[in-house]
Amino acid sequence: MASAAPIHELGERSLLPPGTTFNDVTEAVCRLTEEKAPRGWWVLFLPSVALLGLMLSCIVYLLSMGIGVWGNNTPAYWAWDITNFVWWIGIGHAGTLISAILFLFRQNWRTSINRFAEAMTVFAVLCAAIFPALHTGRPWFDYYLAPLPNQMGIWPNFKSPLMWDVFAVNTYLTISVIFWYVGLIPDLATLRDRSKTLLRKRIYGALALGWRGSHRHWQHYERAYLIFAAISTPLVLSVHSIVSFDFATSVMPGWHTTIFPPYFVAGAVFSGFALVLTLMLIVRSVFKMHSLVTIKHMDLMNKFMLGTGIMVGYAYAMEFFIAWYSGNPYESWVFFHNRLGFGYLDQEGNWGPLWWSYWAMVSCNVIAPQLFWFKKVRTSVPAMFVITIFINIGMWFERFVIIVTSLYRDFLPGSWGSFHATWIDILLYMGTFGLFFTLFLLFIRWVPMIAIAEVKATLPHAHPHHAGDDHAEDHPAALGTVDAPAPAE
Amino acid sequence: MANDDKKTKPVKKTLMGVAPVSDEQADSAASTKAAKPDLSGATPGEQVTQAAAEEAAAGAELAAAKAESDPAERKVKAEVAAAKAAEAKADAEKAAANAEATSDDAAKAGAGMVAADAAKTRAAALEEAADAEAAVAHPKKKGATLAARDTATADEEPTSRPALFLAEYETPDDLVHAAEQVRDAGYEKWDCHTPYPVHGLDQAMGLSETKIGFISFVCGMVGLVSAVLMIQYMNNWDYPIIIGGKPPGSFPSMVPIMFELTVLLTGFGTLFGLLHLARLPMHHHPIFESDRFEAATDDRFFISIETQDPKFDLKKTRALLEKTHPSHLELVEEEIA
Repeated sequence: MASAAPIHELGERSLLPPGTTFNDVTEAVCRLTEEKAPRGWWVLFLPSVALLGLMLSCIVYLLSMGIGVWGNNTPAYWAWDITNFVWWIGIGHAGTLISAILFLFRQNWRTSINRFAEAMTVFAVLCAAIFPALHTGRPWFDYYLAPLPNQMGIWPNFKSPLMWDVFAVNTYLTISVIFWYVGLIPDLATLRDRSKTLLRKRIYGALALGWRGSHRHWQHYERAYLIFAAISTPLVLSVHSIVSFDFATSVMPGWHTTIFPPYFVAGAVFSGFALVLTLMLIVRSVFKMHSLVTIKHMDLMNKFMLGTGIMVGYAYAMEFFIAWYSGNPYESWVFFHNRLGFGYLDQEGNWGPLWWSYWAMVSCNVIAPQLFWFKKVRTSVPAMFVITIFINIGMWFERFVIIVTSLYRDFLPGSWGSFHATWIDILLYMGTFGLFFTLFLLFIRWVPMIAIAEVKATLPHAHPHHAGDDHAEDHPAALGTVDAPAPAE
Repeated sequence: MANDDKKTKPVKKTLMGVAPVSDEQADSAASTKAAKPDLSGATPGEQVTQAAAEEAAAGAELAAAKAESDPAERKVKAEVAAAKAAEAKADAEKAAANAEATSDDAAKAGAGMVAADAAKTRAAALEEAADAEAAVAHPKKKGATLAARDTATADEEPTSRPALFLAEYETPDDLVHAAEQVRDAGYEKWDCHTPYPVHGLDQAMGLSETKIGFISFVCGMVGLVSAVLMIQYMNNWDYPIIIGGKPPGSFPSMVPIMFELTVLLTGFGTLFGLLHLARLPMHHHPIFESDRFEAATDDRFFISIETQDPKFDLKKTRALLEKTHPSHLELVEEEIA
């Protein structure tokens, strides 16, 4: 186990202030669930609940009227609904990336943000699931998607990427919830043991399953955690790949692209990190958690965004290159007429009417994150807040561009149309923020939002220095401190 | 805390059986004798300690009844005694001395220490119980053991018995050193309790490799195979559909769902494998009777050695643990009624 040795070798300091004790960590995290909610929490919570109510009203309206209340039309059969679905799913990916992939790479700095990001994953996937569920038109028949025996004697078509999507998203949601909960068990036990009231003790006690920090349990637990990380890593890569198959396995110009799976995954990580950071900046200032989530954490996350932003930019460029290089006029039409607004004019000499959405995407996703090359920007809270908002918007536009601009001016001018969002499109999308933030705010209020046990394990004094020789070299790594002396042997 | 631990169940039943007798305060000896044969469900070691404890307790009760001093002082004493076992030691020794006649047998049986301990707890309990008001006014505030004694008023049955030694350490280094010593002494039913997984403790405890990976792997393979069988049955055998000119049972289109079901069942296997191997959920455990143990999820490190361990011996185990320089050492008792 070569723990986070690279961090050590790079000479990076421990991300938590020196002299942090175990009890400091417990206190800092648990107090958030024990004290009265800060005013900022209420300021965020009440509008969130209002938005949640808005979402529910929109759903009721949509169910009573049919999905014609959305702006979807012929030829833009897929529009905001699928855009929102892909966007929300992508948001969730950062959580899994942080909790699983960074765990496998022994990036111990993740411990301050992984719980938080995992919760975000779960809630984002819930928000995402609303859209395809409603898009079926009659959500009360959605159980047809499950391979259940029925009176018609037919089964789902497992060759359909939409069916793969059903399995991928449900698996992703289930595994995310389990991974999250398993990670929570020791921390729920901490809350149980600190409970002042019987009700808290009962509830946290029940959820903690009688955890008693037994090392015999930790031994299984650590391995289980590793297995979860090991299966979540390919899972998270598969989920957005399969989402991209929804498009890539079709024969639509603009969709039928082999670059889609990696491009979607990079985009998902990119947008997910952006939203994690946006939320974390808010939560950090509301709950005054500057000692646990430091500028250094954010600096690292900004580097991730810079990296994935460049990958996304490369994918955009490569799509264009292939559209031009292939010489396929349909492909070129989609890219140059529908999206870029350059060349390929229609009979009236115009570009496609939604060309601006493409440029919104490029400026938000490719240009804005370039500012992260500068350390001053990476470590400036207001700057990164604004940039992450831009990225969130840009990544929404990316999905909109992929979906709608590939559809709205089809092969024949006779099937040309455009897309205009209706108010229900807009309100339902806003409403899902209500669902997300309501769940999220309840989470940070009642559940330890930082993985207490994991943060403790990364403290400099967390591990005995004399113990098993083959473990000795792990320690400085686990600490991530530059001050820890290199092991003698 | 609900007392539904399997181990205590048989005892619980028999005690309930003799409850009417024990309610009559008059004859303590009769009730202890009535209870004694019913303990046959317990292990031989337990029987000895139980019998010794009860006999000593009967003596202690007489002693306490004789020495009726200032009630207020007694109450304070009892509280302190429950909070800090050490302070109660003096009382216990007195009680044990008074109880010499009755506890003689127990001493012969080589369980003098048990007798003293039991006498100590009984003395504290009786002092508490003598004041009926105090008994009512102390709901489960000061730890479950005290609370149990409070509610047990003046009945003659022992309400608790030693369950485990709990040694507390300040640092992971101390813990690992201590764990090595306990391991080398050959104990089996013992454990370390830490707020986070401490590196090197596996070796220090002499634990063998966990089996959870095997469980996960088997479950994952079940997922893989069931995906293939499901798709082949549904789309190829039961109701073949030809899509896009592909053969109904074509392999490539099965891959995504094969993968997803493998992951899904591996996840379930890992979760339930973990719960199974750790025997969780287990909401009742005698270790929770200790108030100090709450720090095990905060910043303290513990070693527990259960009385169930074949090598367990009150004196020797205590001596072993004292040798490891714990910052605190206590004998945790579990309720048996």
